[in-house]
Amino acid sequence: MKTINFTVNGRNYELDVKDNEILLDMLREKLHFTGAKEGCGEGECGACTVIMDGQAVTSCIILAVEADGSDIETIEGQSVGEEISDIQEAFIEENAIQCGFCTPGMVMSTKALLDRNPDPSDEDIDIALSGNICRCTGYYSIRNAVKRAAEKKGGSQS
Amino acid sequence: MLNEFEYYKPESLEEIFDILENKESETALLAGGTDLFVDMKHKMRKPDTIIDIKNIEVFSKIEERDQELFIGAAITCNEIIDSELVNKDYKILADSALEVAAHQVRNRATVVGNLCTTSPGADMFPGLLVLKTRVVIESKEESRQVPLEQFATGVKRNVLKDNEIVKGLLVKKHSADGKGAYLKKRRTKGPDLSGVGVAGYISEEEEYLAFALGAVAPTPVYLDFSEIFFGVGSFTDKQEKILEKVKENINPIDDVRSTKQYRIKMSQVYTRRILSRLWEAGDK
Repeated sequence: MKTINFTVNGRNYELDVKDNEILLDMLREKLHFTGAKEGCGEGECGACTVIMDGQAVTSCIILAVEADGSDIETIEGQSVGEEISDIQEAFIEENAIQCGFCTPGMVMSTKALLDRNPDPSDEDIDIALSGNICRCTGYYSIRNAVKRAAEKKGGSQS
Repeated sequence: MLNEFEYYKPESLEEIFDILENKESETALLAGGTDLFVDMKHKMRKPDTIIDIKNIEVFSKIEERDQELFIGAAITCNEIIDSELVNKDYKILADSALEVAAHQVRNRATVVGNLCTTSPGADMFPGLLVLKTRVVIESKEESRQVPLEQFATGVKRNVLKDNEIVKGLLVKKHSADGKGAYLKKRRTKGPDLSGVGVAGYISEEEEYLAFALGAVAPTPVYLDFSEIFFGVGSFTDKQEKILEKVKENINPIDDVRSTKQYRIKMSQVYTRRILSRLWEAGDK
């Protein structure tokens, strides 16, 4: 067991975790942030994507102890009560959601992208979301949602 | 679910060596963990000790030293892609790193980790090979440098001993006219492991031309064609010789990603394509 300190969506946590505990399991089972999903469990599908110290990462192949001292953002931090974020709004407006399983990961990858690049090209979007797999909606509407989110944030003039 | 193990995150290299020297059974070094934890989930590895190397300062360095680029063991693929230094004089490394897995994984996966897993198709091998790279290996007792073409000894095997750790890589800086390219055959448009990966690099000033191929033999294949290409003869003859040599030196297999025949064919196609791309004017 190790004691780790970290923040999730701006709130401080101190937790005892097992050495072999996976970050995703800690977030879902101990802290009940169930937005991040386990899809493949091998870092290939992106359903478990969270932002760790500003970078989108697949939390299913990271140890909980590795999160010691880090700032984590999850999909739960994207909304306050009934208020949803620009990115979430854009995904709804572009119909970039069908079953919704991949969406928390898509939204977090989008947030990490727009935080470092407010006006991404199609290629930038494709690279940033290359690790998020969707099996129903289709990637064009997702790409459009990212562009719309960038516009809402004032990044793109187009 | 991962097997149980003790997790350590040492503050110094000495501490790492102490743990490595005193261990009784399997110890794994952890940088990005993108290969390690997948292997552990599949029960292919069951380490009882894991040493996280991310606290060691020198491992997070990427800097030029005397006509060489040092890439520390904890430098991630995305750090390579974003590095101005890399994009200026070692661009083929950024192009290669962009071929490793997908964006989120590249935020964790390290260049050195890609080499240490020593998969035959590891995307970082060919580009680093054609640039000429030495692997800096350390143990408690000694420090040694191994040319990258001697690092891999078999499928997922390399020269590293149990008490050793890779500190980083030293990549040769070539003349300003040098240029390279990496082409990779994959099954899908999205991220995929390599079916065939070919890197080429040329510098007329140095009279240097080399190719390196991944996923076509148990270990990546490095071929120096300087003598053939900068010797006498027509471009067409030299190209034919190079393609012949490529065919002679690879030994691909059939597997889920490709067939042996297709790998042989694509090795030829990519070698020819890179050669004509690098030698824009054609027959000089």
